[in-house]
Amino acid sequence: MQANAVRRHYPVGGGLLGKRGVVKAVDGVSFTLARGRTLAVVGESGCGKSTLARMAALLEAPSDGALLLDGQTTAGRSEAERRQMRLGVQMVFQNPYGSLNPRKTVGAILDEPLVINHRGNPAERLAAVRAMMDRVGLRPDQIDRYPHMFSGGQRQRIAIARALMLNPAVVVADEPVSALDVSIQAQVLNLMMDLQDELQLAYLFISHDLSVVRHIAAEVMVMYCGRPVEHGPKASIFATPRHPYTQMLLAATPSVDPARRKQAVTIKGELPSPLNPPRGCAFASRCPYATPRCTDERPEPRPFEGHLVACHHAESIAERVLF
Amino acid sequence: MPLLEIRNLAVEFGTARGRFRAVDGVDVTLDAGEILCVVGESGSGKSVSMLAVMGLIAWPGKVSADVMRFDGTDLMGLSSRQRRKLVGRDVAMVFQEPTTSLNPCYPVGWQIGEALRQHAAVPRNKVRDRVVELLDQVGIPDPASRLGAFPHQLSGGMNQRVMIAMAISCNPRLLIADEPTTALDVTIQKQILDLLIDLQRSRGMALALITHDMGVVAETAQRVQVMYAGQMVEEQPTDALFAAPRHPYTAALLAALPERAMGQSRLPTIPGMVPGIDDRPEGCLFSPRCAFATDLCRSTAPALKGLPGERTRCHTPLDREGRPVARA
Repeated sequence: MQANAVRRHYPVGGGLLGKRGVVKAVDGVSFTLARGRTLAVVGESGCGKSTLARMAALLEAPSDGALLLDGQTTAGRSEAERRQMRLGVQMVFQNPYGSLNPRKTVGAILDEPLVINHRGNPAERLAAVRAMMDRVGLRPDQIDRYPHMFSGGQRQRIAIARALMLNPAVVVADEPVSALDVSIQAQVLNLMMDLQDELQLAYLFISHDLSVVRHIAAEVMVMYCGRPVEHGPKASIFATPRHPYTQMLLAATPSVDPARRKQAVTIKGELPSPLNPPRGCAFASRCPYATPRCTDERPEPRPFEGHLVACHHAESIAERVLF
Repeated sequence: MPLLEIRNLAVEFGTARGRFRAVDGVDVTLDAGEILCVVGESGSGKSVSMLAVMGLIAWPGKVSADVMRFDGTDLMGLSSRQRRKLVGRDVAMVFQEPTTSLNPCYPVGWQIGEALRQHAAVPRNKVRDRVVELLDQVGIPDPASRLGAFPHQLSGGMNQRVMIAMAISCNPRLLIADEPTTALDVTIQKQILDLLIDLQRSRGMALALITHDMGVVAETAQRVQVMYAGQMVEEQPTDALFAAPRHPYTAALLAALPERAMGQSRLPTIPGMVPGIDDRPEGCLFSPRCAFATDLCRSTAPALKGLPGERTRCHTPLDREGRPVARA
């Protein structure tokens, strides 16, 4: 999967007397996701990561920019073609309590994608459902149970199984473990990694939890206000973050390891309103390094030490790490 | 004398399938100026035990305890009128979801002032000034202009600051914070935790912080209590707990953290799941999932052993190397 400067803008307002505005939920994101790899997108709420996930899952079309799947563009396709392309990208949602139909049995939930797409006869479908339940660690004899009879972790296994029923190449996982307890989270992460090895899945992994991302991702993209601020291989993003926002996120994440704890960090401010984003760098109002140039001129992502960094001062920040 | 002293707290709920003990055998001692973290997974009873202290368990819940004293006052024997005098003034609570805990129909300034008026903490004509002062203390910019703001006009972080302002309005001696940062982003979480610790230090309050986030525990607490299936299974000073957990559950929980599994491709997991309402095992509640369980664990429930501050509910607690010690 490849994204070239995709954007998604929503018009808002425009009531009787209201002023029309545009929310730039995602504004110029590019990435390449290869088979068997994991790209993690991190950021705080409202940074556009879920909108990016919806576009990647072909649920929404980008307002601008190109999204390519297996080298083929997704724009300008007929409904039938888009439906066909969508088979290759499946989604796992955050809340396993809300994303499974409570009135259907597990068997019916997993069978549905096959029925809709006319795959196999009933006996073959049943065999496929049982095989998938076994693969994700559910007991196939629980096929007639309803979602409420399962725990949160098991429900997330059902959601993953449902996403895999059509053998997708890409799985878009929007905060798949955020609603789960630590011990269950570990089980689901292990399952996701095992399945990736077995099936060579590509994951677009959306999360706000940096310790989870650090564990599962190969590449990390940090987003702020709809724009990528830093993008690079996991190890170097965590070891040598170059964008001040990435540094701030890492410093703010509480750590159980006293050695990794950063003391005396003061974090100020909150996210700017997406309706009225600043002209220059969106992070300038919270950034300790901000200069007048930052508030006037928007920094574009540029290569720096193997990352892509959207900051005017990446070089000087690299020398003095404040956070 | 400890500020808060609880011995053998139990909370029961009557259900269609009989009585269910959501909390069983919880002991808490908390001194003035101390930060205690209560940590556990969902359903472990950590919120319910603190709600019991606040007297917020409604029918059909039933609270019982051998001792439940706040600063020498027996909380069990209080009438609801007497309790209302205490709660909100000397003991205050911050809840998890700021945006839903605030009343959407009233401006935040009025809601903070309500506590002050209720407890007559300041003269009526001074309430407004005091509210502005409180908003300023919790770091809300331009506080006077925010008095008339409704909760939906403020962000989650700002609403949590309002909740904290409300909680500290009458200078409580004990502040209970139930997952105060779970619904917030990490940078905002950091701000709120820093604020809580600042307030705790400057006012000499005792702070009981309920959380499921081990990182938050490690960075804020002085002492930690670990809950599992309604029971307190371990209590230790923070550094000691993270260096050498003594209960196998704590050890397994820490091992399952992605942060601790650096370099390993698979995370260690805890097999099985927390026992539910009708599959509580005989003996130790953790025994079906415990790597070190013996026949004794499966038949006899272990008691909480050790001194206050360093206790474990286990027949064979782990030593520094993580091996179970031979039973004495």
